[in-house]
Amino acid sequence: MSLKAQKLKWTRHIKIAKNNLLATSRDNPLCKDTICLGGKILKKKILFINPLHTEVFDEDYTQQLNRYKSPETIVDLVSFKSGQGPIHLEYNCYEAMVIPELLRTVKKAEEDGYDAVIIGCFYDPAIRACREVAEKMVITAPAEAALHIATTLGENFSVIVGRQKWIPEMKENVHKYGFIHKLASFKSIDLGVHDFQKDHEETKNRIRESAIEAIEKDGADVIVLGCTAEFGFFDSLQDELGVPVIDATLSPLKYAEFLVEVKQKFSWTHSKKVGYQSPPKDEVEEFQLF
Amino acid sequence: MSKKILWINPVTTELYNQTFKEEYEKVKQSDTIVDVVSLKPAPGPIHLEYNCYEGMIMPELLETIYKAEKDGYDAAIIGCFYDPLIRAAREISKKMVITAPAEASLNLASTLGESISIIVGRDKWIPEMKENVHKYGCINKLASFKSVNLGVTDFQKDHAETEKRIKQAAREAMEIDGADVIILGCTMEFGFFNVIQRELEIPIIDASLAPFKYAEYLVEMKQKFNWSHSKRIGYQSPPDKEIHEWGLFKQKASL
Repeated sequence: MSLKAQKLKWTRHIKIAKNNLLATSRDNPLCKDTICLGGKILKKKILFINPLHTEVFDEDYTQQLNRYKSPETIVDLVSFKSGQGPIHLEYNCYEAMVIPELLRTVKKAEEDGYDAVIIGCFYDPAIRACREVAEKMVITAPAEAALHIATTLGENFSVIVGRQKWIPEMKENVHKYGFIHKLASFKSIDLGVHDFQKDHEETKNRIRESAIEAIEKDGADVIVLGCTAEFGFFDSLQDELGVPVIDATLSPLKYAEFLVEVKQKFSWTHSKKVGYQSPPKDEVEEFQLF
Repeated sequence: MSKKILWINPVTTELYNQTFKEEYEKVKQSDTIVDVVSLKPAPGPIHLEYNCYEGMIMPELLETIYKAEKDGYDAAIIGCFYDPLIRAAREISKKMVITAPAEASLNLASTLGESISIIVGRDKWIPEMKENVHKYGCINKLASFKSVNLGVTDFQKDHAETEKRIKQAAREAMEIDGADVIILGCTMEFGFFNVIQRELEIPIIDASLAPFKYAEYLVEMKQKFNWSHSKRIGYQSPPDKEIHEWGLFKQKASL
């Protein structure tokens, strides 16, 4: 996305955010005593990056995130410029291609004063690189957030994914986050990222069928929907299934709010000492990055 | 919607209830209501350094949790870094969320950093706590345990001395063991994280504050998404009939 186009788009998002904020202060009684530290009202400014070159999910995500956010949260959504790259990241080589734009967006988000960024893909692409680039901002991503909550709520989780192709890479993340011994199974429902929202009945039937299998055969007591585009299904499915069904878009929103909360209250944020160390500024300049 | 949270000090002294309550009032979200209780006054353990002490307070702790749910709490926090009875507490709670210091601190620490050191009072505590690090999936991120040779009841005696020892151990953990995040592995190590964190410039996780914020976060998701502990397998509740027949959870609750 050209800088100008990016700027335009962000101005639009910020406008929406400002309107939301005004509306919130007027309508929500909680807002009157929103977290105050030293008399200053602390908002939580969160950016959800949909790292795809398409706006097709923008409206749905924006609506979902705003519906479930806490009153003191301002959540914006940004995706990458249409027609200039991958519109899904089912392949690792597609991820690789969007990472520079992702890192530039993270860098800019920090300059624009965001408190947290959510990398909106269940592969958690470039989470380490994003934490290197961020100086103060908190970074999270769907798999990290969903797996942490899943393992607090239950003890054996199954992840419902679109295609088998996704499983090995996601399994690496389950391992990395320390939860491999709580993994009951991965289940594929043979749908691509852009299929989930095509025929809602069909998608729901397939998720339900594989979740029931996961519960009854694999012993799962909590289900994770392993793609951010699997939104809109968790609520009714968990009522039917009787186990928590974790949504991959909403769980990182709440995790981000939690992380910003502890950052604001206790200054707990990513350790910059070892693995999340930022690169030297002069090198970054010399290489003309970001 | 308010979030009603109960912090349980699972010891027979009220000595720190007021301090904990005041600290939580300062940092709570505006919609949180927080109460702090301890068990019935001594005789009984005033610290849980020994597993057999944990064993002895278990019935009363469970009764307290059972009553907390009846009294309308949304979450209960078991205030000891051994996370005693977290499974049993989740079994008897129907809707209430349960968390505990080690679970909350380790979840947070492994998101903020990648190599965790835990500063404890005595070597004696380490093997039992290590079992929990394993259980919560963080063993591959454990840099070290460090003991400062103080008992639970010593931490708040001479603040300068405690701070000095924790700081020394944390620095060693960082410089020698490669830790990039530190957990203070006892709820009584409160009051020190801030000053040490400023000096060492890595996150120092306080074992009383982390579970409090984790509880708020869990209740938030329970209220918004109806996500709560799965009652299907390991956290399954026992049959009401049995509880009734055996006369469990009736009497001793300290609330």
